[in-house]
Amino acid sequence: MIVSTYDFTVAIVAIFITWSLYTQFLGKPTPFRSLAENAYIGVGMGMVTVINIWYMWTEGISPILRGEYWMLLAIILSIMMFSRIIPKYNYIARVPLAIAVGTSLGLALRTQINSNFILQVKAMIIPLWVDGNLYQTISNLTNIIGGLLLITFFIYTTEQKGPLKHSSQLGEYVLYIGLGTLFAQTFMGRLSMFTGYMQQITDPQWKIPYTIGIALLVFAASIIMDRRGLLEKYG
Amino acid sequence: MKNMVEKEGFNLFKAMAYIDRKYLFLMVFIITIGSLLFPISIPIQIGKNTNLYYSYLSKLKSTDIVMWKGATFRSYMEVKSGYIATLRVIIEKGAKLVAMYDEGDQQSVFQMVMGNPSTGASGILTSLMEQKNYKYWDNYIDLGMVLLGGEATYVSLARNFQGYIHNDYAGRPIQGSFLENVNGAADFAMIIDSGPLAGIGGDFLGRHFAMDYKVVYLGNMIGVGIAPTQTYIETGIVKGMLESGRGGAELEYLIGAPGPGLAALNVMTLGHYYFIALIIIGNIGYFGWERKARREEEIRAGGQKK
Repeated sequence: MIVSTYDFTVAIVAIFITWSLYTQFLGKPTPFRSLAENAYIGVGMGMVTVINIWYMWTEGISPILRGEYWMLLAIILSIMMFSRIIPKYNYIARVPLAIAVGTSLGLALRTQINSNFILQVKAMIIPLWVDGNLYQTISNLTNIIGGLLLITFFIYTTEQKGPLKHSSQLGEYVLYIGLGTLFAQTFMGRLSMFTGYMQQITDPQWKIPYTIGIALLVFAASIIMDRRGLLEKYG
Repeated sequence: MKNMVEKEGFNLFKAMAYIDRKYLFLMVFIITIGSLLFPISIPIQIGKNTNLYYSYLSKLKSTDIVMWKGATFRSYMEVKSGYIATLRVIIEKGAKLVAMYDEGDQQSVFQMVMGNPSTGASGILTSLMEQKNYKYWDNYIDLGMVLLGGEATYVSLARNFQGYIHNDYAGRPIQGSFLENVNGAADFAMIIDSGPLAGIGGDFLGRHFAMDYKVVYLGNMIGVGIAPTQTYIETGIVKGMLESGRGGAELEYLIGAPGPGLAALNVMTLGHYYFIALIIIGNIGYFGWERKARREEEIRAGGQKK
């Protein structure tokens, strides 16, 4: 398999940066981790800057050059945002900010009420018994009972006593079950992300010896530095 | 800790409560890399949400236009299998694709899979694209980072596409392309949102495209977003979702194209067993040593007070 110099360089740098970051697991700051962290932040900032300049060119300057002069208004509003860096004139930045926030709020209000309130309540109005489908029946009952119990947990303006106290306690357990699910799904996601990245540095197969070799080098160097007391100095 | 054990003798509960994290992490690496290098066959069950996702995806026609909201590099690592498998289906169906992004690295990820039309660099699916004669401009267009600007941007796209979009990412005017006749959300057959951070149903695409114009909205979700998105599936705003890497693997299985998802399924399964084992060990350690030691200390402190 022929690998281009570009692909090879990208892979080697990525593998080195990866293992350098993972030296964090040694429990002490290492120079490799510091290098990787700073490189990551620096490259990230550089990339974002270039992308933003390119975006301003394609979406702002190019339309003006094509004769769409109303885009000048957007450029002026954007420049007004920079007035924040001069304390004397920082009030000017409120104008574009107010326009952006006001527009977003106005546009969001109608849809938010529907998607996050009315439709959510509507989704709770479901049959308690589904003929011939026990799974759906249990699912619906869980939804309705769990939802109602949980709502009582969030009633703060009434003293929680009698039936309300018990339903609120049960609601709390429903909440824990929900949070447990969320935690498990987050774990699944993180593990999936980790696996995805491990695949990235071990696939295609020519990367495997480099991945293992660089890992051994980086960790061995970190451990040697630790033994000689150099981590405190350079980490 | 070693000195303490030597002084007080070995205590299994205490050892379980204070396992050095280095070894726990080392085990994660061993399980992950070991499972990737030496795969074993573990059965797979297709989830309800994946079935829903696939049922909509499989109905795509060559005349349909799909809006593709990209994934960032970190999200891609998680939803890689679903990302590639979904694009594979779109290419095989010959449906038109419009890619858009709201973060800088999403375009690099898209080009990593579909290739870079400017430089001619090939991507993961280039061979399939050549086989199906799926070409840039004729079949898919990359609009670049046009989803910046929040609510107003999405509303503009949904209601006045031509007024907002003029050219592709490289500055080429869209006149003469299949986007020439797209006037708004109603002209899209489907939206696929890859790897967003939170519940996508409450996101702009869900509200301004799916809710207002009944565009089929599918999500390729990262783990954190699964539970919030489920509520939007119940409301009908989101029609189906792939649940992180697991959902992607299920889709790979359904379309008969094994890829990174199915290869990673061993890691997912063994990783979860490992995690369950850690929870059990941690709890035994906590109840057998840590809590007991704390209670004893409290009793001692209480006694001194008296």
